[in-house]
Amino acid sequence: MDAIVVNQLSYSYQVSGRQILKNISFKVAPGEIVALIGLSGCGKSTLCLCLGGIIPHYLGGELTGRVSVNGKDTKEYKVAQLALEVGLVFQDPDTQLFSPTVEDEIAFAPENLCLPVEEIGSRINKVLDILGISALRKENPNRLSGGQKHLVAMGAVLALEPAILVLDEVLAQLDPVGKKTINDILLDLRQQGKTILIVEHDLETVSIADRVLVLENGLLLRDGQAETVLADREFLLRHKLECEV
Amino acid sequence: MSDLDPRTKIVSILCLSTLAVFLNEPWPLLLLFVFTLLILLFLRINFFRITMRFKKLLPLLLLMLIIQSIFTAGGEVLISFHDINILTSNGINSALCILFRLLTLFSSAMIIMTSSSKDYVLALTQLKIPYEIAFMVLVALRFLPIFIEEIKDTLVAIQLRGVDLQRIPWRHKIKFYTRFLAPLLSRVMLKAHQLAITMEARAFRVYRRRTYLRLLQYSVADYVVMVFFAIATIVVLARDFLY
Amino acid sequence: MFSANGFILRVLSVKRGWLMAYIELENVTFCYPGQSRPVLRDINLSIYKEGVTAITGANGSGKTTFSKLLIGILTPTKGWIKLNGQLLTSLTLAQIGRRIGYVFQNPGKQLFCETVEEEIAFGVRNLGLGLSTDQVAQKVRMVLDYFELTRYAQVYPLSLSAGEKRRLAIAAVFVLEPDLLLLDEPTTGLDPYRKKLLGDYLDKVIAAKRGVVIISHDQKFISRYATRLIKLQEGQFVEE
Ligand SMILES: Nc1ncnc2c1ncn2[C@@H]1O[C@H](COP(=O)(O)OP(=O)(O)OP(=O)(O)O)[C@@H](O)[C@H]1O
Ligand SMILES: Nc1ncnc2c1ncn2[C@@H]1O[C@H](COP(=O)(O)OP(=O)(O)OP(=O)(O)O)[C@@H](O)[C@H]1O
Ligand SMILES: [Mg+2]
Ligand SMILES: [Mg+2]
Repeated sequence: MDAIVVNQLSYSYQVSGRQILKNISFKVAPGEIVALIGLSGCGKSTLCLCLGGIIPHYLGGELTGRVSVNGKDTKEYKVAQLALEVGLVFQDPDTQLFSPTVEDEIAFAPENLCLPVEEIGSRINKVLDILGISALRKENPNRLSGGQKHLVAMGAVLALEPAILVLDEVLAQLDPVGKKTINDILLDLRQQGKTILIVEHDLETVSIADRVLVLENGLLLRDGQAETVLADREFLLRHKLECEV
Repeated sequence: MSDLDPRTKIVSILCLSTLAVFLNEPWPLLLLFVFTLLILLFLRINFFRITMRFKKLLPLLLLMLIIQSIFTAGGEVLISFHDINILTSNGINSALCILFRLLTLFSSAMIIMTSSSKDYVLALTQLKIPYEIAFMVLVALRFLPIFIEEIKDTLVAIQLRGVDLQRIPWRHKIKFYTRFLAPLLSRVMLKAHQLAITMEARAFRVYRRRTYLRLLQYSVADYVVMVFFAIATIVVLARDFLY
Repeated sequence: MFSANGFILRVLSVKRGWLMAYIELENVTFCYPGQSRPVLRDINLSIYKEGVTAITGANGSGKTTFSKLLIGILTPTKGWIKLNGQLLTSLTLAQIGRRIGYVFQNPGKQLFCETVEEEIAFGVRNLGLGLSTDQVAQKVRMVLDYFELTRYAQVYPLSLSAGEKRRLAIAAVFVLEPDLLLLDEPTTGLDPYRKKLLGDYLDKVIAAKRGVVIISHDQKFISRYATRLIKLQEGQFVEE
């Protein structure tokens, strides 16, 4: 069974009415790392919201077509139920932290899963450890630096241990050490058979992906092996995905 | 003592404020106030911040005291002006009562701040209140500072964009605030909406039940404190009702 | 004042000699209230109204804190900061904002109008140039065009995508015509093409004898556009 199936997906937000996603179809197999690239405003974040079921459950607007994650149709399941399959890290770290301490933030998801206390404790330790933020354990997440906030948001989702991970530009604000850490985590997760979708502008970061999806103005422009797409300089330059400086 | 159970803290606050309302003489009230301060000291609360808070309330308190002492009749007359008694001993008495009562109420409420908001959610759920409701309390407690931060940031941004809030005259200031009230509110609503989405995207309320990383447990100290407060309150109330 | 670091920076600033420092920091220490360790320690630094000064440093090293000190949102625990010879504490935020254009790390926080167009017009009107409605509208149109935001003129700024918000925040600050631009992580959320446009724009700013300070992790961008590079490490600056 495919981890993600998107079939003829079109979407427009309520207020503008402009179609943001236009008839998009693709599938992602379990254990694949897929990178989603495209110019700013082309609809990448919108697509991520569709995968998590936030569209159509929280944001109105018009959605046609079908999205399913691990066999669950996003229209039929609630966001919380979809969260058992997909972990979503949003682009803006400030909208995803609400607990008094970092530890509580990371504990939140496993607590919702009704895990036993020892398991919650060990997940927190593990997540803090692999992200290298153990020192921040007792800090207030809203009083951290931008990059630290992103790491905590990432940790809160990793503690959910979802089969599918969707990361909306989480690497952009990280220092080289942080980028390397996340890179290693992603490769490790792939080893464990998890499916990962990352949104990213930096083509260097994209190179860990197996496959690349290129979005332009809401259309799926290209869907191919990472090596082929990234080696096609002419295509990248033509669509402004790479620039000579 | 700062690891007292939040439930114990809630009980102590209830007892302290009941006592403050029912006691009716200046001396016992003063004693109660000093006692509350001692508790706060034990809980290692930041005294500096408390005094800063009280400082803002000071003019209001003074005004109340003056009004109270002028309008209470009876007792020995201390100052009078042509036949009108301005200050009487009863007036001073009741003013002092009000002063200590308010101080006790304010400072006992501060005991709440010595536990994290999450502990109160735990306290509520362990008192068998459904966790959705407990979480709403948490959300209110947690989101409030986030909202305040949000509004502060926006005000800073507006000033950096050339509006001299510190220097414009009052008339304009009011106009300014009314103009930005709506966008500020819609901003706060948007934030609340996004935070709600985040919570659900992390599987909040996926099952009817939920586990917790930490469980609250009463210690011996909790029992001692609670029993002490309960007895003290009952004794005082009984004395009040019996005589 | 006599820390080795401060001394080296001082020598460097003397070498720049003829150019007067636009912002001067002396012995600046900053510690968030309630925390034991200061984020920034004993900083002596001059920032000039020329070229692109890039500040780098690990996550949580205090870059954003530093920028908030420069713009007067935070005040140093110790030491002082002077802006063009005046103590920062003697100026209001509005006065500072007209000289230093600050783009927050999270640009969503600095957008407060109801439409994109209004967001840009807000700054133009506050400049106190006494422009007519037509002139304002014309200027707004020009800026919208320059930053490719024309199609969003009537959109609620907070519903833009992350990259669009960043562009709008830069545009809204741009119209204030500040002497110095202070950009906190300006390239995050921008695609390579917009990064290049931003870089070209910075080139124009410095050609107009105005200064730029950028805080960034983007090595490629920095190495292409920065004329001076400083690194924040354990609360102190190291010039590179
Ligand atoms: N809540 C919303 N209401 C209306 N329009 C929206 C909303 N969110 C996004 N849009 C619009 O939809 C388009 C796609 O936005 P989206 O956030 O998906 O872009 P993106 O590809 O993630 O861009 P970026 O790289 O800048 O993050 C943008 O033009 C944006 O203005
Ligand atoms: N409001 C605050 N209260 C207390 N501590 C804070 C606050 N904001 C930031 N800090 C702490 O100060 C340190 C510096 O934060 P700052 O935001 O300046 O880092 P930064 O260099 O900008 O990092 P990044 O690259 O991640 O944006 C961090 O350790 C952070 O935890
Ligand atoms: Mg996006
Ligand atoms: Mg920062």
